[in-house]
Amino acid sequence: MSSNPCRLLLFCATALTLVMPEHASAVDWSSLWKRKPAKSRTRQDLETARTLAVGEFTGATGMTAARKMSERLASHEELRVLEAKAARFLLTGRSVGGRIDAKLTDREGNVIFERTYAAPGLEDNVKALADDVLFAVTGRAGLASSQLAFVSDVSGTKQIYVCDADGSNVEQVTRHPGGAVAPAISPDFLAFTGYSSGFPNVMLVDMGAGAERRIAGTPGLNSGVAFAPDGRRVALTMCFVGNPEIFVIDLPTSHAVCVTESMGTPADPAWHPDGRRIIFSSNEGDGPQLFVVEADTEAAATKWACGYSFATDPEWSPDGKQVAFTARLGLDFGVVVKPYPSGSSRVLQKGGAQHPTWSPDGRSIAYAQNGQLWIQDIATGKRRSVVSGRGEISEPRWMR
Amino acid sequence: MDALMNARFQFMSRLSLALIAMLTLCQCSLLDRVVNSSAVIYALPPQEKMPSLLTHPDKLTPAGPVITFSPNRFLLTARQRAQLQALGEQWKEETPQMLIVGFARRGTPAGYARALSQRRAESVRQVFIEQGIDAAHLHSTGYGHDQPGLSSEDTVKIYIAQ
Repeated sequence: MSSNPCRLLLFCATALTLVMPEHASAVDWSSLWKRKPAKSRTRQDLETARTLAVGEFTGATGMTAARKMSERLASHEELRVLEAKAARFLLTGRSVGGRIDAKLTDREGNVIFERTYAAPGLEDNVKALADDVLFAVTGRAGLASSQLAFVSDVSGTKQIYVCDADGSNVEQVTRHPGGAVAPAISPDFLAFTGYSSGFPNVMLVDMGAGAERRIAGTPGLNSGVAFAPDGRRVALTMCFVGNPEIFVIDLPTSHAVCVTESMGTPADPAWHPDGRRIIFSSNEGDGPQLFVVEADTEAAATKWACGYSFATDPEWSPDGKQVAFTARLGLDFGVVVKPYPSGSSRVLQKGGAQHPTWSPDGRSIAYAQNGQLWIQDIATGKRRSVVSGRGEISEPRWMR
Repeated sequence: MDALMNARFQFMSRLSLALIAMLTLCQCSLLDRVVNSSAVIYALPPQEKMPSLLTHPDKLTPAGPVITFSPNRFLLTARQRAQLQALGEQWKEETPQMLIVGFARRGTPAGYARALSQRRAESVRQVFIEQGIDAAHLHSTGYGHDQPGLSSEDTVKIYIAQ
């Protein structure tokens, strides 16, 4: 009995530590120091911050390289191409046989980067360099070397095609008997669902070498592949266990892990830019809804309240702050953008628009509508059809 | 002191009762889910030697009626279930290799259509398994609406492999 008061005291102490919020004990001293106000940037500073001059390019293809670079960069809204003396950045280099050695410096002569572009063909090297310059100067991913993959049935069966970010250079990639659908594209690989075996299997094509291999050929359905930000793993739907589930496959080792435990129709996985979370759609009995699951833990998937009773094809924006998805709006489908984890949603496009995919710079969204491929600027709402007249286009995916 | 002990005992017993009640509730809801969705699921057999509708349609014979689903539904009605059970009776003794193929209607978002059609095929497969047919003889796949030449409706078709 004599130990009772002690126990009580111990209990009180434990209760206190539980009740007290963690941060209450530790004072954030850093907040008490007065910070120097940041030097305010004048409008002129901001204007010159994103100016660039394309200087001299030596070598046999140097003149052409410089001209193509100026043209490509001049069409970009966030960057101005000026004369050498007025510009903040200077791009110089050398080009022989299409290969480019480039150097980007600032006005003070500090080297920002110095790189060699050795793809076969001047055009590809110019595109890659333009993207690097844009990223260095504006901090946003360039789209010059970016591509979109999509499905078209123009050949009679559904096959995968790729095109540039402006819809040019459309090229058929697959010629699978039985068709190919659900593409995903990374800078090095194209993955898709191919029917050449008669059953839906996931194939991976090395875009450089052209080699194709099967990465998921389990019984039943293998489909809806999405590349993780690290490019090493993919998420997809497989159902050899007897029910569709979302799996993550580590590509170098082919090791697969099941991340869901569903009784419904888990499909369309897409990765958060942190490479840890996966968003997908599943119909657990009352129409397709959106769910989020951790790829590396055994925690159960949680439903994300997207505000629509029918939602599919979710994709996180490149900064992870928004999700675009297909929703049923009345009788027709539309593309909706909603802040993640919460915020008010915005209908980007009605009238049957489906399967949204974010541009790498997060400024626009591509989707399929009426069999055409559209790209819409999110801020202005302006949109244009970039690929049309090529059969029924569906399932576009921007390069990740 | 006795009074204090008594109060503590009562508190503890109430707490444990509440805990037991909560656990029972959780288990009940879990069990409900398991029973309702027939959660005892059976892995699919290897498909390497199985003919498919795309590569060897001549080796597959349609068996039984085409099962039709309402949009976005993958569970069978009581009538469909009874129909399939009657069908399954004849294969109990000597089960042939069977292929159950799901489809979804054109216009359904493509990725969802594939998973939905596969899930529909699993619903049909499950009835046959409950009938006593060996799961290793029951193959299934979902084509969504990728193969309009075969079907682009909300259906499941059953085939026997030769």
